[in-house]
Amino acid sequence: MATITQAVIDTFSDSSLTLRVSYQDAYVGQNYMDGDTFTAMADSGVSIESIVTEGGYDAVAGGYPEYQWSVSNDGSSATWDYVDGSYLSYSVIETGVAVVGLNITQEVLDAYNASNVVLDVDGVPASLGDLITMGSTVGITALDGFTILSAIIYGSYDPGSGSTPEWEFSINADGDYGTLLYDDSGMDNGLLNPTDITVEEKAEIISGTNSVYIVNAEIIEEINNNRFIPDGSTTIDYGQYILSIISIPTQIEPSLISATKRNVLGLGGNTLADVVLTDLIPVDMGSITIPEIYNDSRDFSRTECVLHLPYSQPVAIDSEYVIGQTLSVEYLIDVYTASATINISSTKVNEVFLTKTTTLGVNVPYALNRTDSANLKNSNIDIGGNNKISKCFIEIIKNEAILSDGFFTTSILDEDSIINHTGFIKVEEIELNISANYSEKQSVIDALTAGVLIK
Amino acid sequence: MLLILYRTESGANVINKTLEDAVNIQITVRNDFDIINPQLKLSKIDGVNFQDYNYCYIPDLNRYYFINSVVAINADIFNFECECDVLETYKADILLSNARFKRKIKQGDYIDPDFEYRINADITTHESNKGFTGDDTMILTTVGSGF
Repeated sequence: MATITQAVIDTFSDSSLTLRVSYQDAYVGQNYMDGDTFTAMADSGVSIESIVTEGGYDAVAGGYPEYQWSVSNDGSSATWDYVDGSYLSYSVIETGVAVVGLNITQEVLDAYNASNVVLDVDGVPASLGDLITMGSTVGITALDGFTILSAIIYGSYDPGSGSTPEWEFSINADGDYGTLLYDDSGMDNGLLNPTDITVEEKAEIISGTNSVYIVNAEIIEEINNNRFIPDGSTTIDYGQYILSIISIPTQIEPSLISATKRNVLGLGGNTLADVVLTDLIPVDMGSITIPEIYNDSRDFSRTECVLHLPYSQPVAIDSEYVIGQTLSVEYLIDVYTASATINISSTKVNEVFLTKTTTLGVNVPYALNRTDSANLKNSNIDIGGNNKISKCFIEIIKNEAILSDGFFTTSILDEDSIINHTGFIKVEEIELNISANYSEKQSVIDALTAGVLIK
Repeated sequence: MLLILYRTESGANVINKTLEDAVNIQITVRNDFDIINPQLKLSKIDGVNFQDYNYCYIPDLNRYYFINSVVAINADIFNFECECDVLETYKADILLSNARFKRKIKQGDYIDPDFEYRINADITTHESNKGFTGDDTMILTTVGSGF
């Protein structure tokens, strides 16, 4: 059993620390015993770096042990369990200036990321262990493909006013960045636990401010039922805002469709439709690998390659881009016109080497207002047309060489040492160095010219 | 002088002929011996049928010969009319010679060949691994995105 003295309290208060025993402020005359927890609380602006308290004399070891207090990560407090016989007034205390701020933990970073924004402090992307210091500007940047609609943080419920304070980020016009000044008004908890950040996927590659929807007959019927909206003495026809309705012969990649449906033209009824995030829909038509057969010029000689494409005329392709290569085809469909740009690439050049266009879809007629002429723009169907092909394929049209591999076929001109070859050859010119008489040399040349079989 | 008789089925224009059934015979040549187109008179050897041999080699002359004909002069003497096979005789030097020649096509030859072609073509097709999938999709585009 020991008792708190003024000297003990002064030891800590001189370092701008408040001493607590068992989580209550210490006072002179307070008793404490072995195992009681002492806490040193740093005053505002002070950070505890270390506290070492001297223990009682250790007769066995022969000296005074030193006990290190456990300092909190932010330096705001330190704790130690009293060891009987120790001298609290013989404590060595090291302090520094506290950095006031909110510690950014992984949980905080994850919370912002889950809201599809990235946190920064004064424009610097926040990292684990960073501090949000008083007076700094907290920023949030929308992840690619998202727009921030609003970002609100909440304080603690105030029973006095019966309300919960809230602070709202200021969002820029593009909706991709928001800021909030961090002050001491009580927003700490809200900043560390963002729960009300609203974003939406943005269709950033759609021209202007147009919208692209996936619809069906029922939705179109609903649009036609709801398109005429009374406005005072007149009626507004929302159908005038429809640019086109087309039908394309494939489904759209889910990655190109917004997770959120919207009512077409903001009309009521059952007009909720999937929103397409682009007005140029890419369709991967896959690849075709065409192997070589002979691995020589026979693969290319008298060979025609014709690529057949859905909704398009066939296209002849130079065999250089085809034989022994892989062709890849991509359609880019313009949702306004149903025209498609067909990009054909080859591993021969590793990029697009041929581009052509066609019309892919059918313009679907839709209900008209009283003054429009019929909107039946189906003329484009004749340009492409449904050729009943759903996958690209390539025709290799080849006239086979006769006796190309024949025993006595000598189709390839070469110049080399004869010893490197076997089979039948016909020599045109030779540098013949033999110790034979003239007639023998001539006989050799005649024989080689007529053709010899080297075994 | 040694004469080695052979049988060969290899053609006259073959370099590295296959020689079989060698028979060694000692011969004596006359002063007017023609080393390019020699005529050899050989006495009958028991167990050897000279008509079966069509090729020979004379090591001392370092030459190979075609046996063009074997004629029996009488019951015991045969006349061999021979002709030097220059391709086999000088094959080592020939094979080491640099030459421009025409040969059969082989892998890696990517030059315009001089072939005859069939008039009717063969057609093979290769299909893409992807294509249009599922049902048609109806797409509606509108002015404005704020509805």
